[in-house]
Amino acid sequence: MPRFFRNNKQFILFFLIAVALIAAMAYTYGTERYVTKVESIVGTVFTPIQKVFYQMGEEISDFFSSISEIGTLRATNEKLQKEVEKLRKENIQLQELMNENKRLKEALNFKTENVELDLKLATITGKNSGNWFNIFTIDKGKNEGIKPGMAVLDEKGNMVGQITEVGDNWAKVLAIIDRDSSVSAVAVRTRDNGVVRGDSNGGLIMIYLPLDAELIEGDVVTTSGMSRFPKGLIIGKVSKVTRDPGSLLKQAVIEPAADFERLEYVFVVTNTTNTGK
Amino acid sequence: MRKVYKYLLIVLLIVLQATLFRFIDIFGVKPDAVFIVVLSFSLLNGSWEAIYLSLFGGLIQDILFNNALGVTTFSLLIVSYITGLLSKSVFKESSFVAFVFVFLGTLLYNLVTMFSMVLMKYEFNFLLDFMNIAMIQAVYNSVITAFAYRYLVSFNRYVNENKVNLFRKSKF
Repeated sequence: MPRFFRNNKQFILFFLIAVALIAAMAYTYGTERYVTKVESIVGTVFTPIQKVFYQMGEEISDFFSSISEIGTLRATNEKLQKEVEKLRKENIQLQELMNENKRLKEALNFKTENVELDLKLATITGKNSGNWFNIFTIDKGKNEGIKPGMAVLDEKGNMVGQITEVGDNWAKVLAIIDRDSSVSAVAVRTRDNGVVRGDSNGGLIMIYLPLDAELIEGDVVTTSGMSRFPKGLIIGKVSKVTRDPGSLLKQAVIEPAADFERLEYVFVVTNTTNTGK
Repeated sequence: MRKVYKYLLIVLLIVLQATLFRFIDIFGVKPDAVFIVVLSFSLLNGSWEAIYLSLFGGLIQDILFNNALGVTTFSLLIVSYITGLLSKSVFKESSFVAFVFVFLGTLLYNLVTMFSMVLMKYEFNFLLDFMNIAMIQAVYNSVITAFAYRYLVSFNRYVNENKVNLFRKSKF
């Protein structure tokens, strides 16, 4: 037996490391945590370097896309002008409705549900380079009050993901399009509840929809408020509804509202609700 | 001391991969430069190098970008260790040999990653995802290797030269 150990030192070392890695995977998988000191230091070293490279990449891609857009600028401008006019009209209507809503709520003594969101701006510093996971890092962490489980939005307020692991001044975000992500969601028009999960090909799927769910193509889906994320964060639009084969449930393919390829800055929602998980 | 350059190269590639490689994807699949470099050095220098480099490169990537610590390292370690063991019986400096090793290595690498994902209860369509991600990445990685391997071989030779003569003109 001792000879076996002497002759196969390397293989034994390899085997022990492999076992240790599997144990580490099992221990850290699926948990939300503040990372250890060592991990935090590694992140602190890499974050500023990556930030520079990431910004550089954005600038280069902006430069090339603006060259290719020159030809279509006039048409885009006209389209946007019309859009602005339309939105202005809608905005006035909405103001009216808001006032009316407020008056009625006051009359009924109704407790207001939609709390103001506390947002913190963060810059993306890097993305998981593999093809299996959709995780990215941001440059804000524990020191800025970021906690595991907070929701992350893009510049327009669409849901992008949630914070999973937090270092001293950096954090990891699990995108909603990752296979491992699931968010409790509701269709705005029909109030059908379900769970939105990622399919890792850049798309989303809403499952556990009841058979009598009436949502159709084009319906907007938001967070439901039953998870710890604030209610009403926009997730995406329904692009197809199918019946789950062999079960009494429906499912819907959702097109995410956020553009995950072009993300540069994100907002972290620092107020979480305490109900549910 | 020149060994440090190897580790610096890996650090540089990790940063580039995380920041700029998203612009060079084909069918949504990105190549893995750290994998190519670690596998090439394992092929050239044997299995001890495989263990050191895959632990170094894998753990940094896992700490920075993975929720489960060890996913990248585990796959990288297995593939490069096997490569290191097999390297004794092949002509190491041929680009074609490296091409074959990287092609098969990428397939195995993705298989091991999928195995880890099964352990973590991820759901996926095995055959479809294997064809869509692993096959494309294998082709992409191995084509890059075919062009880049000769530079890695000369880089490796430069790093492994023990005589350090500050006054000698460098080949580079």
